[in-house]
Amino acid sequence: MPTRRMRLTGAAAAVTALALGLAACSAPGGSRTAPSAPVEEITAPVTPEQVAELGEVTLNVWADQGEQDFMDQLVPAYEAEFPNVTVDIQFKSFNDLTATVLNAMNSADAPDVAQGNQGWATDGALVKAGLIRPLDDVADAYDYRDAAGDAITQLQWSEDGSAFGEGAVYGMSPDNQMVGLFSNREKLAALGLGTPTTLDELEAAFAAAKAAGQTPLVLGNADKASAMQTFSILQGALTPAADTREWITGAKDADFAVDSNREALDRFAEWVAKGYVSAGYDGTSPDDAAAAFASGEGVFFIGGNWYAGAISDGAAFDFTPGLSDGDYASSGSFGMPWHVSSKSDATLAAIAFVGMVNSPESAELLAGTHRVPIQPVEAAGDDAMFAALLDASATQLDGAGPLYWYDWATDTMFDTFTGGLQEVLAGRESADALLERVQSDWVDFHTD
Amino acid sequence: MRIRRSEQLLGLLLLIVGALLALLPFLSIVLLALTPSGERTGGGGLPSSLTLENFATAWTRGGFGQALWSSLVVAVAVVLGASLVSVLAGYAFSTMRFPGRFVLLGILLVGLVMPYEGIIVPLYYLLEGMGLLNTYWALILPQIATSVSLGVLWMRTAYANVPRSLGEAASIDGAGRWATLWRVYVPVSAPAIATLGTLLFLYTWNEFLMALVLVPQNPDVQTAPLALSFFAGSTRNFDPSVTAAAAVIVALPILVVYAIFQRRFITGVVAGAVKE
Amino acid sequence: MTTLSPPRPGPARATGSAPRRRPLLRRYDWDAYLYLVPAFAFYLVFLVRPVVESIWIALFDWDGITASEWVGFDNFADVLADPQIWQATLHSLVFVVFYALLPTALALVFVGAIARIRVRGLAAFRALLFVPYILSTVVVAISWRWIFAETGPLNTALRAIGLDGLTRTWLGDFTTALPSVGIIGTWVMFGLAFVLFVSGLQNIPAEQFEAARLDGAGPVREFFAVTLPALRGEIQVALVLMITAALRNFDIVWNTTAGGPGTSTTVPSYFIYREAFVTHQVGRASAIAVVLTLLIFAIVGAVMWLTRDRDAAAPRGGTR
Repeated sequence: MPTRRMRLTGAAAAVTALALGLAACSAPGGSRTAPSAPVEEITAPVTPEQVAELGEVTLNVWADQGEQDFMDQLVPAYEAEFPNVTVDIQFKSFNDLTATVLNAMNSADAPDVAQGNQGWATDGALVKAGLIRPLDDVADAYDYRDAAGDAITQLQWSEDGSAFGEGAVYGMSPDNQMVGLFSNREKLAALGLGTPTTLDELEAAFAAAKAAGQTPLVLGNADKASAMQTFSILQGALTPAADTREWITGAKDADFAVDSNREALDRFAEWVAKGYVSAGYDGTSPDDAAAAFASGEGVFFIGGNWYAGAISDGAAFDFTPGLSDGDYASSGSFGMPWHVSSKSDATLAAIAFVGMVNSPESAELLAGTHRVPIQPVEAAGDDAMFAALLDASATQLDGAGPLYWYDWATDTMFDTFTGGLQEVLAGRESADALLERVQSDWVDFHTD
Repeated sequence: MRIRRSEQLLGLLLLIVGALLALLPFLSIVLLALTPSGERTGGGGLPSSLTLENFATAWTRGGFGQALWSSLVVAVAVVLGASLVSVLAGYAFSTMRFPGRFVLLGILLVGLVMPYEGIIVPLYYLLEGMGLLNTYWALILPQIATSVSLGVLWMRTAYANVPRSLGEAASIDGAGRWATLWRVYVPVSAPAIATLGTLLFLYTWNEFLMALVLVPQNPDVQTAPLALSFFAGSTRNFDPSVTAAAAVIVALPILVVYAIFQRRFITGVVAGAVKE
Repeated sequence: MTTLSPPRPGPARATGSAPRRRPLLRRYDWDAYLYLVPAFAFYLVFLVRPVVESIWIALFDWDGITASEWVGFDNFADVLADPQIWQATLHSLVFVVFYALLPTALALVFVGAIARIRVRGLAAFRALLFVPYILSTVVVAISWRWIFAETGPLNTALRAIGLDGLTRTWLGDFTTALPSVGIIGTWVMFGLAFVLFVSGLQNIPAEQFEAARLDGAGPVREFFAVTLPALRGEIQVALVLMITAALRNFDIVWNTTAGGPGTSTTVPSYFIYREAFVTHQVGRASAIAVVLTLLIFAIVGAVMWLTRDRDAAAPRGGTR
């Protein structure tokens, strides 16, 4: 019965194909635009009475693991003030958090509060998708705007997420973060040197350390980001900070492929070629590197002020901002911003949480964990390392200001920049080739 | 039929070296896990003392109790679900005549070489639409689907080994198809079903990509390999001894099961492979 | 997928050879579909439909959240013109050597060495050699991260024998990262190849070896004359499985190097994951997925054709 069978199987196949075709025949994501719920404006800090009206609620929070010490103190304080709220907080590594927060905020069981990251890849995407609530009213009610000053632009987005640095405030972060130069005072003294403040002095110190059989610069770049942060000290010394910021925020016709950046890349590669940088850096985690530096290896470590937890001995180590050549520019920004989900069904509790994190009252808690609050705090007391952090932060903000972070520039810049920088440092790619790739990533992103 | 003694020795030596190489990497992290935290022997010598502390640290910090439980729930559900649907479909393919048999069989064959990477993106959005992301269902349902190809072909072969006369005897006794399946075919094929179950259990227990994509937000349903990956990737836990302890914790259950059922594992993988 | 089937005990099936005369419509067992529905429901919803949708999504520019835009085959053109994707594909082909060819060759050497001898405890050796294959890939990755670490066993061993100059962070070094990840694959896959070949070996009738030896064949000639041809089916199966694993490789790369340093260990599935779930270029990710799937089908097809049984004249199918 060949014909009969063929006809039957043919029909079966056709039915299957039809079913599948129907299943697939709508454009993906079309009906998925986020509902823009009416925003409840607040005019004063949220009170426990207002939150109590929500009844028993659980506040789901996603935070970077670097927040843990701070949160260990803040969450109990919050739950004491708002007794009907239970905070369920999940800590994620920076990479896990930034990789998954967008999908998480878009999911049905989105966290009520989450940290994002300034720049196009995370915050820009969250705003564009309508997943986070504008916080202008919160910034006013909690005295945040004044404390943040001009730098608040890094938290501002136009409503459709197409412009960075203008529009409403979409996130708030309580601390200032910056890349600086940790130096080992004792070893520098043994070399007859003080803490360098210019690029020439830094390179001279590298050469002296190398000659004395020391590792000049300890680096751990297994996370790929650390070399990029180290680079910012060099790049900030050679290229005007304002130019770099314009490029990162997407100003029209900005260009990263300029001579000064080429020189910065070439000099960094030279540091590696001359053996100034610790061996095996691409396979070493930054925490391991910081721990090694804190235990006495090497003369310099370039990294964020968040390493002051590991490198905490202010008598042995110094922390200085970028180099005076560039008026102390280096990668830096406010910490990872806290956002309120636009889908939260406990919006007031979420606002109360973000407000408390960023309030003047919490600044002392934050300072207690060696972080530099944006809200004013009492002097550092006898903690020399923390005093150095405060100094460095003030010096940079009074100087050229932070450079922000190169990877904010586009949604794919982290990979493009960090991967390429590894190639340049290994001598496998020219500075020109990297600059060209970085700039074409930028152009692609901004012409879409 | 003399085989030179040197040839005997060479063969044996090769096997011993091979077995050592196969075990060394895992044994070295077992050793690392037993090394007191902070003491680095570089794998070159024995540590000064042994400790179980790293296991305790990893267990409490990584939440591996919950993760192992989740792995078990998912693996058992997939094994039961996939075996059941395969027992039924294999029966049809093996004993019945119906239009579209070869086309359907061909469609199933595609599933044998279909890489998960090819379906993972739509799968995410499909499960999101169903509201099942970050639940056990997100791991169970798709993995039943990806097990169906192997399962059905497996059962079809197993039933083919059941003597026809048995089935015919049952039907003369008045048993219908359904009863014949459960009274004759399934009992006779029990060893094959058990081997299939072992094989699916192994694959499901070790699956990583699906867990990474489909349950990233809910620690309560994350399986052991995913929990381990997150734990090892988190800079908070950069102590290598603790990471090693976590890896041993995750590996141990499957090694124990393997030690008991190794023959079934091996015949299963061989037969499962050959079937492809 | 192959012509090879396990030897079946019991009587051969007699489908069709003794047709029972029944009325036309009753020649079919219509209730068969009832038995098929559960399996095919899962299969269609969670496997076939996603396959079709992959192709569909690849035709859009979509960030996974907001509305998408139809772009036709632009994503495919974009992917095929992307040197990074080509580089990643090249890495995958290198992994084919490490994940498939090397384990096959090594396992053949092992099998050749034991084909003529009686090994006491072969079952135990087989069980031990198979251990790497049953471990979770994440456990494997973490073990080898330690082996290859700056202060890990490999470097310690090199220093112990005075080869300090060779030490390095193997997974963090541009020249060694790719082969280092490859070696991990060889380690995992060797057990699978060995187990398959040993089972094939046990199916070779002893007379064949005896006949070869009567002809005065030494171990090498015996291997090429008897063992190798007899294992054709197993070799084919091993290659198909291991090549598929090599081309799909995600778990081990993700948990050892995450594609680095630079882009020296990127693979297509790394880009599928990153673009779909991290950088939100879902259409492009789907295009890569479709291309990767086609590549795997093409290479598997080619391998099956190249290793086909040239002596088997009869086409298969028939009563199966």
